[in-house]
Amino acid sequence: MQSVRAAVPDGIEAVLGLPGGDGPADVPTLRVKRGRWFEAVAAVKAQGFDFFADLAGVDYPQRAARFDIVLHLRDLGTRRLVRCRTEVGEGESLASVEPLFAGAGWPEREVFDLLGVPFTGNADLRRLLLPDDWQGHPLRRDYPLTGPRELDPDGKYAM
Amino acid sequence: MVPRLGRRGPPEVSPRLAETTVLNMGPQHPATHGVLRLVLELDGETVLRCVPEIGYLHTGIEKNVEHHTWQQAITDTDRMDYLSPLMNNLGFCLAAERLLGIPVPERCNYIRVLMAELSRIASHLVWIGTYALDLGAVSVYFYAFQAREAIMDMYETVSGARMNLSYIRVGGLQYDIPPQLAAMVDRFLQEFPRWMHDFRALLDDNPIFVGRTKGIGLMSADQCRGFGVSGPSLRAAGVAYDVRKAAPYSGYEAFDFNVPTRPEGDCYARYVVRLAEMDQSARIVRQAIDGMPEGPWRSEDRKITLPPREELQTSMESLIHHFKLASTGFKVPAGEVYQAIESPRGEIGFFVVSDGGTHPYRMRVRAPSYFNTQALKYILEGQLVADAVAAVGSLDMIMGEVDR
Repeated sequence: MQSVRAAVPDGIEAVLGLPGGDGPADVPTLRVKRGRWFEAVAAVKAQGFDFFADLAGVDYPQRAARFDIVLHLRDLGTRRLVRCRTEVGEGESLASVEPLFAGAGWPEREVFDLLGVPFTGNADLRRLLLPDDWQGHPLRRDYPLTGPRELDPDGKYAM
Repeated sequence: MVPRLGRRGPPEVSPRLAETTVLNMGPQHPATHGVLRLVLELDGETVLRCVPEIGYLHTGIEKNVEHHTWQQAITDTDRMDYLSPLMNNLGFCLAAERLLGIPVPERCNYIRVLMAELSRIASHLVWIGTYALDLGAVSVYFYAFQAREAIMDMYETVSGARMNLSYIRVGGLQYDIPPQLAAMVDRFLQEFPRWMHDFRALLDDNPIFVGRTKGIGLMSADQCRGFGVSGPSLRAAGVAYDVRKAAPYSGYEAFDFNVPTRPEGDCYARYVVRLAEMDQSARIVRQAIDGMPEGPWRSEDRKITLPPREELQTSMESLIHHFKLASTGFKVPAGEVYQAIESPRGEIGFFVVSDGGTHPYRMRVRAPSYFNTQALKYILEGQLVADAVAAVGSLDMIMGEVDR
């Protein structure tokens, strides 16, 4: 972790889940500044974490930077898991890590599709799970569970 | 603007359109194993580009989980990887139990391992049956499903359902295993080697099967790592990574089993690895049923688990307690956790976030088929279209967990 901090001097906001870190976590976690996301992930990959586990987004609408982007990487040799996370606001974009991990392509498209976070540098940034002409981002907390109004104008399926 | 559902945008086609053909495979196709659409741009018989299109089975499971209590959410997880639903249950419950900080008793762990490994065998049986069927070996399909019936009977005995059991619950299980299960497991383990012998006799040296799978669908270990391909496909590329060994859960450390690998990285290697895994799972099932400890089958923490049914007839407090737990549900302390388990398809990861309430705040499922399907694009490009069926089938993808 020290070498990652050295490689990205002003990018790491916090290190969690490690002795001597800034707090507890279930998995060693790096909180990264949005602007240094790509370099930080590249530095972590250079430490041997070359198995792409997952990239996900979480929506905290009451927060200013409402989206948490959470990346999990594994080092299959030492069997360690590491988490990198950053915060992205409404209307902001994040650098794609697809050039580092081919497996990042679809998860980034899914975050774009369901949460509305664009990734610059993703080779094929379009909706993944929903039809290409869908309006809105369903996994956002303020999106209704039963879908858009147009599909249920009489509110028959509202909870 | 009314969204037009079901309309997909066309993929970009190359300027050499006059020389190439765009072939649409799916989403309704007997060999894509669910609703997967592959748009193949062909130059004669060679696949130049492959664009997998998914989302035909997207049902918003992750969004639904946010509106269900923690115990209700288990029924949502069943529907993802519906061929081994207990794996999904197990991953989610382990994540919730980590957030709650409650341990489960040893008997519960043994039962979970027993059911999980039976799940793995059942899933691989469906795989071998449908894979051989795709390649034309129709008989194998019937034998595989016949063998699987014994496991379906066991599912029904423990939980009442043949599929989508939701048998594994937060803090324990739905019920304890009934006494007749041990005899059913014994009978199954006695017959199982005969089934495996039959599959191997029909396919191992079958010239058509070998010709259609050896050297086809190659993926190197580095490619697998970059894509996040895990499970039998990764192990068939020579990487001995199995979550049960790398980050053991639910008491797997106590069980003796091997992790089979092959170096070739082709479809035939994946076939060999899966069959070997079935043998290893049978070993674990034998150890689990023989070594089943006595004792409680769920956590004694009354804040989480329902009171025993007998108490409901005599104790008012238990009745109120049951009502509160079943309607409002218990609260899980705020936090987040990433829990990975080894499903028949690979590493299934549950990234669960709790805000301290009765509902999960967010459940992200790292579905192994999702990453395996993404890698399909690279496996198929440059290959013959006739090999597409063999390559697609060898990855064992379930669209339920790809699309969620």
